[in-house]
Amino acid sequence: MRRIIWRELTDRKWSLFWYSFAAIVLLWTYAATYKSSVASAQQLLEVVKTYPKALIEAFGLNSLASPSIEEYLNGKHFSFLWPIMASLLALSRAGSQFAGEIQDHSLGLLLAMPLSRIKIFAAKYIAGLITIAMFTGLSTLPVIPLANVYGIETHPHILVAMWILCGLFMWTVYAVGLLVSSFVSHVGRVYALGAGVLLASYIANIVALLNDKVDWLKQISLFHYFDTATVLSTGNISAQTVEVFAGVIVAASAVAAWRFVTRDIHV
Amino acid sequence: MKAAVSITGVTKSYGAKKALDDVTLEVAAGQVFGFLGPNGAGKTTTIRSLMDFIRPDRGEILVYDQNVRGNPALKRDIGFLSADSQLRSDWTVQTHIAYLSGIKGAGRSAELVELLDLDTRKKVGDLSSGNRQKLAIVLAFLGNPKLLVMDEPTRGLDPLLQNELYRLLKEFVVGGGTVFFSSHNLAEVQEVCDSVAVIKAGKIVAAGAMQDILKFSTHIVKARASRAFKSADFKLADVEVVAHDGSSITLKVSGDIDATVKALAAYHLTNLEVAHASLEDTFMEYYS
Repeated sequence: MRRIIWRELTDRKWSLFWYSFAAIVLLWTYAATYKSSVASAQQLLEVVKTYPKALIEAFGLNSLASPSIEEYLNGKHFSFLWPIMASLLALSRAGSQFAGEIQDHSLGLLLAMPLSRIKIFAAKYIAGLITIAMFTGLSTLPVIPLANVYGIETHPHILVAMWILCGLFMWTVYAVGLLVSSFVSHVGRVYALGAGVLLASYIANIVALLNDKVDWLKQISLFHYFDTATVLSTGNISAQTVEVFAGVIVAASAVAAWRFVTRDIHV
Repeated sequence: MKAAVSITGVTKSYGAKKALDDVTLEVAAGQVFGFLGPNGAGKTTTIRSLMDFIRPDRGEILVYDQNVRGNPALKRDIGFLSADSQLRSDWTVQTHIAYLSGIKGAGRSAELVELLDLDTRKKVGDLSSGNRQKLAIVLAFLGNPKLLVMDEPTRGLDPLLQNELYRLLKEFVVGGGTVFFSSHNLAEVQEVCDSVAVIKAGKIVAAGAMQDILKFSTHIVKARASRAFKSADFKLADVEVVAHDGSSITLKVSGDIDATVKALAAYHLTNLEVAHASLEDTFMEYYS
């Protein structure tokens, strides 16, 4: 199993490298511009106050005049750009690991080996989790040394909590991606269906914020539970967030594993 | 003789279409078994079922008396070569061999790489189709299998390498191995295989030892006589006059040839040729 995990990580190292590199460069840019941005934030706040409440919450604009770099990063990075990057990486990983390898028939190399399907699934899954842990770590924790370079105070416990929240979110997207990947045989369908689910989830959250009558919609949106604003200001992840993400992860992963073990694979 | 592969009543449907319909066949250990059929007949579905890639709706597949379903340990004894390339174009030849050897064991890989003259440093994406097929052959031999399952293994190989593969397969069988070999090339099946089965629309329509299959097949009889043949003399059961030009005649005889020989005996023959139909002729009969 270790060989498969290592092979998975080696094969896909460049995508992890470039995503992480981009995330670190963005964090560095935010750290470099933090002090000047805060200085001019008061003026911007006057403009933002005229925006609809939903828009302010959706894009984390209420933290523009933030006293801490963590809250500043929420508006700039974690409430919008980071979930897109993480979702792209998680879906591409989930798609290529199963549907992609069925599509190009290369999964047949492993299926012809004396390995049970559950072992193959588990090895790929663990490789996926290692990727998630590395990307989420590299896209949150470098704030500490980068901010230090510019003499900005950070709150490590908040950033560790953010790492955990990011990890849960990306794991959830990965598990949903794997669920789709275990049912289909074309990687394009994983991207289309996975992105469709995420987009629908995102829109549900926005609509719920805009219209109180459909407030319940937010309960079915992953983005409602990915509450970066609260975590980056307090360092606390709500029990509900953990329960919902864990529930989706367990259910999606279990169905994906069952499907992969029992399905016909035409390779 | 002990069976290496035993397929019993295997049925597989995709919606209303039956890809395999009650397929039953047995491959004796120590043989090269040829599996014939045109595209879409069910060859690859049978092979994928044998490898436990797809699961039949009904029936059972045993390899050395063990059910293949959910039995990955059995694959330690099976080498597989797919009709569709399963190779990773971004990996080198060496990466393929090292990675899969680490799981199953190297077997004869080093010897075969040298024999087939494979450049292990090259990426598969840069290899010709023939060299990719060579690599697939090396991978099939990993871990010293007892059974080789090969779906069109000579595809893309030049005649010299085809002969090298035939030699390897014969050597493998002499060493106690068994080969399950599917091919479109009937001449090579006739040359290499000890027994054969023909599949048509998901059903096995003929199976047996190569000699038996050919024995009951068509004969082509060409005769020349000192006087003209009368067509009426050859209006016999299972005999068709293919060509008749006065004192020469060509007959196609299905099954027993005795009545035809007796009819010909009424003439003073100056030349007589009797040829077994090739496996290709036999194959075409099943499909005509």
